[in-house]
Amino acid sequence: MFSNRSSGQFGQQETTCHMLLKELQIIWDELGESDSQRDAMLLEIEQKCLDLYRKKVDEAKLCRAQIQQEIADYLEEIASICAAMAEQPLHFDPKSCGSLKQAREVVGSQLEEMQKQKTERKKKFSEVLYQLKIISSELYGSMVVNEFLDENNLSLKRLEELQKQLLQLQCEKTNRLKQVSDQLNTLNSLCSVLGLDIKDKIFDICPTMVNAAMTKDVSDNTIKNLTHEIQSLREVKIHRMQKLQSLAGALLEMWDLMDTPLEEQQKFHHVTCKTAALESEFNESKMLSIDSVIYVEKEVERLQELKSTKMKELLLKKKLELEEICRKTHLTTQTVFPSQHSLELLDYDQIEHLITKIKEEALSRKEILDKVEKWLAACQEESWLEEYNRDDNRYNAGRGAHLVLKRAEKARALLSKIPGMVEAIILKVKAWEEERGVEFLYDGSRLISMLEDYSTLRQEKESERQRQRDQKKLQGQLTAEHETLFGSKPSPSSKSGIKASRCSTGIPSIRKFSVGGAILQDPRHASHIQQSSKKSYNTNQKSSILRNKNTNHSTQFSGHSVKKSAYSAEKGIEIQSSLTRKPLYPVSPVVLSIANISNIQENQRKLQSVGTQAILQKSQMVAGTPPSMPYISGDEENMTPKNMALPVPTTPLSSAPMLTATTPDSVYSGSAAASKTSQACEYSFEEMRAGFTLPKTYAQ
Amino acid sequence: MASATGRELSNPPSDGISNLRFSNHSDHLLVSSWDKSVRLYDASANVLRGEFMHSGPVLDCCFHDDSSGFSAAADNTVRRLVFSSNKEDILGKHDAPVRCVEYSYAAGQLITGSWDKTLKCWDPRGASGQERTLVGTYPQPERVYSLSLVGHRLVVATAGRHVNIYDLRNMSQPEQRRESSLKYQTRCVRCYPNGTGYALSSVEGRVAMEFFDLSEASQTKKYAFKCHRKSEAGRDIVYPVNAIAFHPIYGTFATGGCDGYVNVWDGNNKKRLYQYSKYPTSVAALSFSRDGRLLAVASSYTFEEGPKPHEQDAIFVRSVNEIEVKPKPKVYPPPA
Repeated sequence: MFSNRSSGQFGQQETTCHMLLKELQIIWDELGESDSQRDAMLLEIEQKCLDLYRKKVDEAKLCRAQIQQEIADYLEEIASICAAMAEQPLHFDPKSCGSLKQAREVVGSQLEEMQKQKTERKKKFSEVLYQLKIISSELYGSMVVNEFLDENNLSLKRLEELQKQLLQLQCEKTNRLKQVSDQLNTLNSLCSVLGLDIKDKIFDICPTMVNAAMTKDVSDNTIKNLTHEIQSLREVKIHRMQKLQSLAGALLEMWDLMDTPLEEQQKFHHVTCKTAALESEFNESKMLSIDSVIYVEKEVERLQELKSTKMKELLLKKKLELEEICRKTHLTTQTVFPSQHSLELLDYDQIEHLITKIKEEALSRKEILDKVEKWLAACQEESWLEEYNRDDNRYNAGRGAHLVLKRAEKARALLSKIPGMVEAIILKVKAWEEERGVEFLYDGSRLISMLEDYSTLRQEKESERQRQRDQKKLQGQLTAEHETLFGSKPSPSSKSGIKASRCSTGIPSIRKFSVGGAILQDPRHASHIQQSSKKSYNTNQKSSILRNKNTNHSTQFSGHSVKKSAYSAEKGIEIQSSLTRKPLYPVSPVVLSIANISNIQENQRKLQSVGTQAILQKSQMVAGTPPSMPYISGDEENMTPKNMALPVPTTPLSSAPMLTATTPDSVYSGSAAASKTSQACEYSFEEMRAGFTLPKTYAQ
Repeated sequence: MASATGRELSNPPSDGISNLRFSNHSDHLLVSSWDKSVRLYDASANVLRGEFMHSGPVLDCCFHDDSSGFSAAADNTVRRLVFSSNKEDILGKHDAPVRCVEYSYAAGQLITGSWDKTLKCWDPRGASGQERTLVGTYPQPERVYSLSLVGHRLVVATAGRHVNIYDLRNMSQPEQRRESSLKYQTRCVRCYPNGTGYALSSVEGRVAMEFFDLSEASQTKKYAFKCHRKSEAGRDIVYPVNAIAFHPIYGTFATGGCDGYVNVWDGNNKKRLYQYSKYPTSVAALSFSRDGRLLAVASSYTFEEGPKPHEQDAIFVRSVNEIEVKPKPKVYPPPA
């Protein structure tokens, strides 16, 4: 327990004590101290020494206990660290190291070692945990893994666990990166097909990803958004694809239907080749962009419009065919289908059906019609003969006179057959009507009544002729009596005095038929006969017949007296209406019929409103001549239709709605008629400036 | 002034401008005038390139190609003008002043309309005598006031508010005969560039939008609208609409009236897109350049109130902003 050095010192000290005692005894001897005194003092010294020793021993004991405590503490600490690090604590025997202080030293250094280890371990843990935290926050957003550093559990096993977890997360991260990049690729292709800007889409989902160089966001949220976006875009794509395919189908159908030229088709081949393609096959850029879909849609619309116009043309053609058949068979369209109006509404199939029906009907009528044709031809001959008979110069010899004579002879023969013909027709028609239960109509009028009218007229004429014959006979008697009384007189034939100007050898012009024989005074018959001799008619006259019929119908219908004959009415139209065909001025039949109808309406209106015309004319003077600017308008043009547009103040430099108002349709009441009368005063600014006035030859 | 109304061309005609037209190939501008001249300008360079003098006022002109053109004059003649050689020859004559002239690229024919109530078609290549040049004469119900072509379609507007529509391949008769749906004298007719119809303007501040197709669906689309009017004390002062010009790209159109305004309209959406600031006097004629970037405006008194003192005749060439002529896009419903 005592060091060598101190033991040496102790020995020295011992000698010193003895010397001091000797010295003290010497001094005491000198002093002559009493023995008791000396004993007391020595005792005191001894006591003091003892006390001192005791004290030192106590101190040493305390020190020992302290060191022991320290060692124990250290050992405990080491043990706890080892426990935390899950390591076997080192077995330590303090005795093996000799002194306690040495032991303390050893334990202390051991502890230090352990602490160092622990710190290192902690560092590793915190590193792993930090990474874990980062990755998990990357993956799961704000949801942080609730891993924290546990001081008491720093075992390698735990570390491994955490590292494994980290590895797992890293793995997941790479997976997700791949997934995201896949999704981005998908998104990109979708966007390009749909013609969208991918940047916008990505920016919506995750602004950081727009920059390709930056690390990609792989959080749950982003992936969810991406998936959602892809889903929605795919839906859009499928929707558009289906639309495009249906459009393409429509296109193909219409191309097929209308024989669209290849060049025109070429532009849409990229669409039509995908009619049956799968969604995945739509991968061309902008293939499904809104513009492209609209482009195709527009084309389909255009074709549909084209189709409808073509259909209309076809329909019109069919209608014309129908009307042609009707005309040929002298059926009026009104008889075939009750109202003209409905004809406009019929569709293609119905018209087709009607045509077949009419063809059947025509077949059944053929026999009768042939006979009627013959009859009409006979009537024509009859009227010709009548005219011929009235020609005083008919027996003049001239070129072709023998032909005329022959014709007259034939006509006479034919004439005798007419009553038989009529009878036969009447019988046939009656049979026909009985069989069918409907009236046999010829150009809208009942054939039987036509025939009966004819018979009556013929009888009347016959009796007239009889009367004339009687009169002539009487006259002859009178003349004879006269002659016996006063001598001869010029023959009655030359009594007229005026020689007929026309050459007898010429065939009476066809136009004259209409004013010819008494039978033909009825305009209806006239038109029939004119029609029956088609070959000598040019188109011009044909159309005039058409018009005739129309006017006839309308005049009869409107209750105007038939006396106002078709001819004068027609003339009226020709003068009053510029829409009407002028001589040698070709007109399409469609236009003609339309024009005629409006003409007739106009004509009638005119007839009825002769009184008001003056007023109309006056008002039209204002309307017809250009208003001398500035012109104050009472807005009368907007009074007829419902005026809906509010006048918008004209604010410049901004888009404003137009002041639209549906102006009345072209069928104009009074003003149209009146405009014709006031036309003469209408001039444009340029004409007025140029001093241009309509010369008489141009004015009507 | 230059910025508001566009650049004014130097050396303008000395009397009323009857028409002006841009070339289909360049920014050359052909201008006919009552001063008996036809002038050729380079609009972008503001240079007068050539001038042809006639014996009477020139009522209309048009380009043949970039090197030649045609004119219709009040001296009843139809002339062909060759710009390079400054020569002109007479294609033929009408019996009255020739009001309008149009060259059809589709038919290779020149069509002229005159106050002699006829339309004449000419083959400008037939230089060998007048007999060969004249292709046909087609009588019209009234004096021809305006013509317009699109493809093979020809629309003829005459006095008495007649409108005849022809197919150039079959001129024997009109394809359609119509009456103007406006109550007053027709001033100008122009076909839509897409060939589906035509716009027609009258002397009474109104423009009708018409369609060729006679189907009910098409005909329900037609309408008319009021324009070039001034409201004063509750009463409208109405001005004639002298000119219509369609934008070659967007199909929108500009109208010019005696009120001196040029309005740009979107016919499909029934919207006015733009109104340019007022010109010194009546707008007599309008023309967009081939790419629609320039608009030539003839500011020239059209004698609507007879002889009176008036502003100088001038030609303005303004650059057209896309926003002024582009139709406002329709909102398409999102594909759901």
